Amino acid sequence: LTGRRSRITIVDVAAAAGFSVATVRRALRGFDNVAPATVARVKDVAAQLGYRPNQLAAQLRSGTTRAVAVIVPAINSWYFSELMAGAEAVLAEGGYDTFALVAQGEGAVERLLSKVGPRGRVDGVIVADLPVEPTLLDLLRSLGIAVVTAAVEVENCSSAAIDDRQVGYQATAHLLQLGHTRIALVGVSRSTTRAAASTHYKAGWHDALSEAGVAADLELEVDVPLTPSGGIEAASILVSRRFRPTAVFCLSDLMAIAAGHVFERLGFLVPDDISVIGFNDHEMASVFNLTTIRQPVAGIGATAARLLLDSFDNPDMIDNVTLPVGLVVRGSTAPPSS
Amino acid sequence: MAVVSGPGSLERILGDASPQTGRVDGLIIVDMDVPEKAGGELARSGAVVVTMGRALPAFSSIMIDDVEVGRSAADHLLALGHEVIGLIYSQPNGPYAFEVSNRRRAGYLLALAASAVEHQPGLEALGNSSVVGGFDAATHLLTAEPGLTALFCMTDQMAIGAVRAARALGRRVPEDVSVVGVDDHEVSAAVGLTTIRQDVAALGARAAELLLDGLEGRPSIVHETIPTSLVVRQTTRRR
Repeated sequence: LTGRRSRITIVDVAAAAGFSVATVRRALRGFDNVAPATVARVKDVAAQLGYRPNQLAAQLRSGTTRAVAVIVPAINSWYFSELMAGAEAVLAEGGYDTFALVAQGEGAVERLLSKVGPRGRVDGVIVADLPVEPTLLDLLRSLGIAVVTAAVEVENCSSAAIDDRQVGYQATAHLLQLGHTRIALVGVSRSTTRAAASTHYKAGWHDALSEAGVAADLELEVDVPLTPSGGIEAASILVSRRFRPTAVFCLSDLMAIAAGHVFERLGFLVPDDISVIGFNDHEMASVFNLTTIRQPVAGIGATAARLLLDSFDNPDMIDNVTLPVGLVVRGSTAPPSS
Repeated sequence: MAVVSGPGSLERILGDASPQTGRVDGLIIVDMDVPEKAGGELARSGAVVVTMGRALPAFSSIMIDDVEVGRSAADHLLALGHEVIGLIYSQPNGPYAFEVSNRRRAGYLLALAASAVEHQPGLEALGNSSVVGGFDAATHLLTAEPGLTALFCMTDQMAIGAVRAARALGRRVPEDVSVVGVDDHEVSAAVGLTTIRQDVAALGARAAELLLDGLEGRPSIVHETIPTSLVVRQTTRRR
């Protein structure tokens, strides 16, 4: 902040023009709820005082804004805050500030990227778990902005992700090996941002069942939100099925913990009467003795950040890193009873 | 949303936020101490700022009453007849968390004093604000203090760990040990945890409203508190 106080500020412009700072700001930004006469007066005063509304030009000349944007579909989730923390740690070490942008709804990614792009506000972008159109990728590259995706792979772009099919495959294979054949799949959603990944989770579930010669019962596929409430809902749906599952794979640990509690409250002991396996290896999984498929969420963010820092030095390099997932056996899975 | 971790990054981001640079319209600062100098510069620059979780004289703020949080958790346990109540506190993780910890502890001490229950320093343990930290802290307290019948944990994550720890030691919850947390974490309803609920989404929404008020030219400074509420579930019971 040193040295800025001697400059003409918006406060000086407001005082000289006789308007509030808010009005001056709106006038200079070209907002349409300011009277044309006010806009003209503010612009006159600003010009007389030599007020420059922003320092972007200077930053662009020096070519270093030293900032990276991480675009995520949501911030109120463990998954995205872990991913962000992983990315932020690496970026901070590399001397970059991290900004999180939330893309919600159709066209939001394009809108956000078009904002970070032409005005040169960031040096690079990590797009997490959201699709990126090839044309947009080209546009950003032409503006000198590096892009890396996290948790999804996009053609012609560096990425850090896991093999989503392996998640469904390994969980199902573990349960089959214990002797289960009625294996429910909970949280495969057609309505969330995880829709693409869901297809792969389901493919893994399906492949493991086919290899074992077990037909996939579509009644055992439950589409509920990936939240503890979704787990509660799924558990009550599954216990009322005519042919109950003997094992349940939930696509989040918190969902699995919630579902397990409902099963036990209804008199089905875990794992004696029903096996439950989760996904993520959330901190709570070990405390609840939950068997799970571990994925390195912070590692995905950190790897994406490292790829981005690499691409600042070597813009033509494209690297698609697949991080490993793995089965963690704890006490919530066991062979089926009787 | 900007993530602030290392030294200097707050100053850099605040510098970017001042209206002189024109990069943002307003600023909500969450759970962060703002150095006096940077805060003063920001105020003089005319930036519209709202703080959450921490009040500064120069800007509007929105928060919960953490003394009341500690007091109502302890009052609930005292009303159930508990007299040997353990406290699992969060890590002093940055200046803000330290302050919240202190305020919740102050409320707990006030409630004990009002009920003429003697505070025993040996009944406190650090839980690092995490499930595993709560598990370890509760294991320590329940082993070291066999007479303990209740635990107040400053976050639900620690409380969830504490419930698991009690059960791992063969103590029944709530028959042998009562546990109360703070937050109403997304998993708390599912596991039946009694808690002091804070409406974090409402806090954020109100902060945004105050910010919009400021941006629309109503720049009066207000300091608001959003109420918390006791949610009784299955982890607390009469002694």
